[in-house]
Order: sequence, then structure tokens, then C-alpha cells
Amino acid sequence: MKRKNSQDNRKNIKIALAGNPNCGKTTLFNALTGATAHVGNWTGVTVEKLQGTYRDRKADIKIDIVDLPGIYSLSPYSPEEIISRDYILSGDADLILNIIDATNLERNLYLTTQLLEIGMPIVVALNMEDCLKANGETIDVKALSDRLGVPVVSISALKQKGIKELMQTVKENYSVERSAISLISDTMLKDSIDKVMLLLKDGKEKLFDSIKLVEGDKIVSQKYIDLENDIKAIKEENEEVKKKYDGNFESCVADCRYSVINSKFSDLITREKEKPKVSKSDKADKVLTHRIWGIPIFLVIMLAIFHITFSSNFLYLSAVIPDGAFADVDPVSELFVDTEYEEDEEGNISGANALKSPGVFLQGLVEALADVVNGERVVEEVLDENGEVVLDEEGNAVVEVVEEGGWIPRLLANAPDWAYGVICDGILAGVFGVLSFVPQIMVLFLFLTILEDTGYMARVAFIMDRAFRRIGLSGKSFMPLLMCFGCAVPGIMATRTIENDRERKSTIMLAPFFSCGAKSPIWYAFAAVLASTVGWNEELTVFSVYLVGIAVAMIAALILKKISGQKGVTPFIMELPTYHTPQLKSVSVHIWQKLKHFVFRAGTVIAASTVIIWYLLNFNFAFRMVEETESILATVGGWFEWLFKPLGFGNWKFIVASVTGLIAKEEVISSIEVLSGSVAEFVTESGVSTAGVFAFMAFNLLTVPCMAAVGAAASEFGSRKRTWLAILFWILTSYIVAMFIYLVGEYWWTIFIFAAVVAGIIAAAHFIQKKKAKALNLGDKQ
Amino acid sequence: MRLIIAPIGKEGKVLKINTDEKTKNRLQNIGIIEGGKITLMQSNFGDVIVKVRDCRIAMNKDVASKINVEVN
Repeated sequence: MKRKNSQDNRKNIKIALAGNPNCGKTTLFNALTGATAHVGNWTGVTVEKLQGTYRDRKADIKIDIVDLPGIYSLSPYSPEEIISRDYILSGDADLILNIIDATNLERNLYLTTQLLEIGMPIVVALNMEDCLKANGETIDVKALSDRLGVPVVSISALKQKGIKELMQTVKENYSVERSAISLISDTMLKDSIDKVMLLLKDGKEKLFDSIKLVEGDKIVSQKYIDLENDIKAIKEENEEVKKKYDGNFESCVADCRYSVINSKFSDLITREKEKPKVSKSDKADKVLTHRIWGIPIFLVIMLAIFHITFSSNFLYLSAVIPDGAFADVDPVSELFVDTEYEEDEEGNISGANALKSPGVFLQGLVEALADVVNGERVVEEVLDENGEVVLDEEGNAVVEVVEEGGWIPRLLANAPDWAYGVICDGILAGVFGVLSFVPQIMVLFLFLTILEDTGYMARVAFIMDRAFRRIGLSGKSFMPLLMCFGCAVPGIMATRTIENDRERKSTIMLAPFFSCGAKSPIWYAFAAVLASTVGWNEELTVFSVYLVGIAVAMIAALILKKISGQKGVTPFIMELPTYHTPQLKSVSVHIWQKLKHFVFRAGTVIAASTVIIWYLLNFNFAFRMVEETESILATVGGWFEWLFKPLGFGNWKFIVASVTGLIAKEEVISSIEVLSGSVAEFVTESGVSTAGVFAFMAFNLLTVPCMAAVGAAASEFGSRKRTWLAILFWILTSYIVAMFIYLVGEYWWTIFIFAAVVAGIIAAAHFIQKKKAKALNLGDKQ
Repeated sequence: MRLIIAPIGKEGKVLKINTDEKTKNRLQNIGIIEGGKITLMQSNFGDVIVKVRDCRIAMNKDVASKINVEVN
């Protein structure tokens, strides 16, 4: 009975976190919600907002917290800012928690003045109390609260100070009605705002809408399209704005806000000492964003990260460790060192003297686990002295177990063939195939998150801007594309920070060309095969795949720019946050979310799809279990062999492997293993040439990404037509590049044909662009 | 004078922002307004980092060359 009562009393409220980028919003979110955060898929636009729950010890209230992308203003500029604004105005939240960076009060209050114009409960969290103290500054919190007319709580999200008081204030205020006020209603805009307000019907957000109408906000103006002429007339009447701002109300509103902030709030800050002119951050920037050394420094950092993640020769210690040092180590040590070696005719051992990098070590750990669970059970028929199969009394062959295998294969030793096949060769093989490279993706993500958290990534965007501008993109495209080396899905989502629509869409189209973590097992597996067949250096082969991707992306970006006919690139304006040491909590929360995502995927989509592939590979159209070569997959794949002949891999197994990559790129290797047992066998039995194998790798690199990435791209494009265009673009690009690689690799003279075709395409693009420009000019004149 | 040729490390004042409306609005939102204080911290071939209200803001050359400043 008592329990029921407490349930009834428990209230559930929702608050939205709003604030400038880099004001410590996410730190506060993590401090409030801990590990409860989850990425919610929201109705309407498919958009990712973080939501978590704050639980009070007394548990009389449950507070859901929505973390929104950082915004400078409620006049949005980039798509992610629109997400924030739309959510704030939707009224879904009970209260807005506005976080302010105390070390940068004026700029942060700029957003606050706009939030106050919304008639919703607001609590202001004055963050970075600790930094303020370190700077020798104090802010009069009480006066700030009085002048804003809303509660202000001083906190330090990083040191988790003042959080309880903050939430207490939230609890006291979420149900208190608050009417909208505007701090700029006493300025030269007063008349205009008052008159527009007269035009509007009484209702929600009258003040907010009026100010936005005066400002000329596109979205709000659309809402009141019938008042267009009246508003224009009202604005015309304002002589002062006409004189001072050339009739530019947007500038006028912004200016008024800053001057009000300046006159009303600047006396609240008391400084004991002057701030140093050049901060530590500035000194670091002198080096890290150096006009010449900036990019090389970044490349070295990235190489180091890739080394720690992917290298099987950690720190190149093999140079000092003698050959064969780790040739016979115990199974546990095997996890840490490379035990593979070659022995020449004289018995000299080379190899087995390298340490594994952390990423490779973790991968080995998962593989060891896979072996314990799903190690293959090997059974052989017993032969007598003459090499004949020994039969038992009933005439069946006597078998002996050569290898016991993992738990599951042992458990299913006596199960029917199909059950064993579905579970061990299908589900488990597929799922472990995915899990085995999760560690490396996680390590890569860990480092990228750390770099991001320190504030370095914003600098990288800045130093890369110049180079990106040449191919028609801005530095803002850099980070999303870099993330694509980990996974295209978050990379594609990160394109929301790009303001320009064309640049954003182009960036999404380029995303798959940056080899994601899920594709890397393909390169490693095939590089190993090419090393043993034609003696190519493994690391160079893998590296060249990445280079092919980057080169294709650059050319594709140029072509996309040409086709669009847009001149120039959006200006690059970006705040560079002060450098700080990465926070364990925010980094770990981020990594944990990624990990959950991958493991969830392995357990659902991939497990299900492997069953389907296994079925299609073991049954024919008459639903009978047959040899693989007669299976549904073989038959259907066979129909399309001709299509891939020009690419050098017109073989149904190659086609099937590529198609399964659509489900998830991990599938390429796992289906090769289901199809042929091993990648080496897969290549040798098909008779595909070296050029064909490399063309196959290029094809898989550049073609349509996995369904998850296509889905992410579709929701970002927001248009079906655009999505199909992108899919067509990916298919064409991969087909053409793979064909180029195969034909030129096999018959070098075909390079001239390609040169002619490329020249033709460039000419065509140029022509289209001219035509477009002409049409545009005509449109302008009319 | 144009921001890109302003002396490094000396505080000045923004006189005029000659960009298109949208960019100007963005600059205002991020804290760069006509009449406000600005300090050029670094210049990489015209791409700049400026200090405004204790924030560091990076801009590419196109934008920076359209901002006129006055440094005493």
C-alpha cells in the first residue's frame, strides 16, 4: 500500500538544457544523468537528442533531461541549431535550464535575453564558478537573478558543485508560471515591437513572435504570412532604425541586445586583477594552429592514433626485440605479442618479435572469447591401416573428435546438421565477426573523443579549411568526414554542424569513401592474401585502400561542386573553445554509448541477417538443403556475373559477399567465411587476378554503405529522391573506379581510354554548370 | 583597415562588417558586432583567429577581409 502511495506522489517532469556551444552543457548533462543517458529517436524529424534522467535521493520527483545542441541565438544558422530552437519552442519541456559560461557572461547572456522572451519557466545555471575564481573574478549572482527576473544558481559542472541546489531550484520553479519579458523593449525598437504585438492575436509566445517578426526571422514570418505587408509598413515607420542601421532590423536587434547586456550587466563582474593578454590556450594555438606546422602536427597525431589502434608491431619494438623471441609463448602471452614467424631453409627464424598495439590486443581478446564459445569442432573419420574408413556394427563410419571445439559446438554435437549450421556457422560466426573489430573501433573513437573533448578538433577544422575550400567544402566538413573513419553513421549525423545545404549534402555523399572501421577487416584479410600470393607489403596495401578512398572523395567533391554550379564556399566562422584536459566522465559516457550501439546491432540486425544468408546459401528454390553451388544465393549471384566481368571479379561468391555488405560491412568477411571457409581459399578457388582482387576491395570501399549509414543519410537528406540519387552516385563511382583499377591493372593501355572519358566528363560538367549559371542569370534579371 | 592586416595582439574596434546579411548575423550572434572590441591573435595566410569578449573565434580569409577595424 505504502509503495503505491509513493508511486502516486512521484512526479515526472522534463527540462531542456539550452546554452552556447562549449558552455559546459554536456558536462552538466553527464553530471546530472550519469549513465542513464540514452539516444532517443524522436518523432517528426528523425533527430538525435540526448535524454537522461536525474533521480533525487528522496525520489519524490523524476526529472527527464534533454540535452540540445549548443546554440548562440534563437535565430538559427545551422541545422542542429534549428533542432534546438524547434525543441525549445515546442513546449514539450516543462522548464528551460539555461547554462551560462560565467567566464564569458556577455556573449552567453545574448541567448538568455532571447530565452526570456519565451513564456516558460527558466532557471539559469551559472557554470564554471571554479574557472571564474581562478581568474580572480566574481559575479554578483543575486543581482544577476534580480535583473534577469529568473532564478540563477552558481555551479561547477566539472567539479559537480551546486548541482543539488540547482535541481532544488528546478523543482521549485517548473510549475511556477512565468510571463515572457523582453530586455530590449525599451530601446529604439519599442514602437515597432508594440505595434506588431497589436497585430497578433492573444496566445502563446506573442512577445517572442513579435520580436522575431521585427527581426525578420524567416520561420516565424512564414507563420504570419498574411501580416507581411503590415509588418513591412511598421518597420518603414521606424526612422531611427532606418538612419542608424540602414533599415537592417536583424542587426539592430542584435545590437540592442548587446548594448542592453552591456549597460545592465557589466557592473556585476568584479575583477581583482587584469586577465593576461595571452592565455595558455593562445600559446598552445601558436603551435597547434601554426600556418605551416599545424597540418603536419595533426598528421603525426593521427598516425600515432592509427598505430595504437591497428598496428601489430607496437612502437616498432621488433627493431630491438630479437627474432623469434615470442615463438613459443603460453596462450595468455599470445594475446600480447605476435607469435607468427617464418623459418627459412637454414632454420633461421624471422618474425615473432613484435608487441601488439592496444587495439590489436583487445581484438585478440574478443577473438579468444569467440574461440572459447564457438571454436570449430573438428571430427574426422577413423581410418584403418589400409586407409579405409572404419565402420561400426550398423555400417556407419566411426569418428573421432580431433578438436573439442567451443561450448556451443560441443553442446550441439549431436544436434541435426541444420541446427548446428544455423547457430554455429550462421548466427555465432556472424555475431563474433562483428564483435571482433568492435574493440578497434572503440579505441579509435576513444582517441577521437579525447581530441574533441580537449578542443583540438575545432582547431583542426580551422587549419584544414584552406585545403577543403579548394574542393568546394569548408573546414566544417572535416570533422564529420574524419568520424567516418570510425563509422559513417555518426559522421553523417555530424554533418548537421555544416550550415550550407549543398556542402552538407556533398559531405554526406562523400562519407562512405572514408573507410569505416567495419570495412577495415576486409582490407586486412585481403592484404594478407595479397602478401602471400604476390608479396605485397600488407601495411602498404591497407594504406593504399585508404588513399584510394581519399583520392576518390577529393575528385568526387570537385565534380559535385562543378555540377551544383555554386561559386565559393560558405564562410568559416567557428568558436575555438579554451583547451582543457579531457574529462574521464564525458569521454567514457560517449564510448559507452557507442559500444552499446554496436553490441546491440551485432545481436539484432547482424544475427538475423546471417541466418538469412546461411539459409539462402544452404537451400535451393525448392526449399531443399543442397550444396552451396546449387543454392539460391549461387543461382541468383550467377545471373549477375556478367555485370562484374569488367571489374575483374565476375564470380557469384564475390557478388554475394559485396551484396551482404549492404546489411553491414562486417558481413563481407563473415559471408566470405561462410562461403569458402577462408579468404585465401575464396581468392584462389575463384581464380580472380590480383588486379581483380584490388578492384573488389575498391568496389567495397566506395559502393553503397551499410543500411544503417544509408538510413542516416536518408534522414539527413530528408528526401527520397535525393537518397536514391546518392545511392546511384555511390554505385556508379564504385563501379567506375573498380573498373578503372582492374582494366588499367590488367591492360595498362586502357588508361588512355579512361583519360579520354574523364576529359569528356569534365567538359560535360563544365557545360552543365555554364547552362545553370546562364539560367540563374536570366532568373535574376527577371 | 581590414582585419587581415591588423597588428597582431593589439586591441581594436570593429568599424564595419561588409559581409552579406546572413554572415553578418552569424558574426553578431557569436559576438562580433560593429563598435565592439576585437583583437587579432593569429593570422594564417589571411585565415585568422580573433579575440572577442574573451572568446577565440576562427574565421577564414573571405570573412576576415570584409571586416574593417580600427586599431590605435
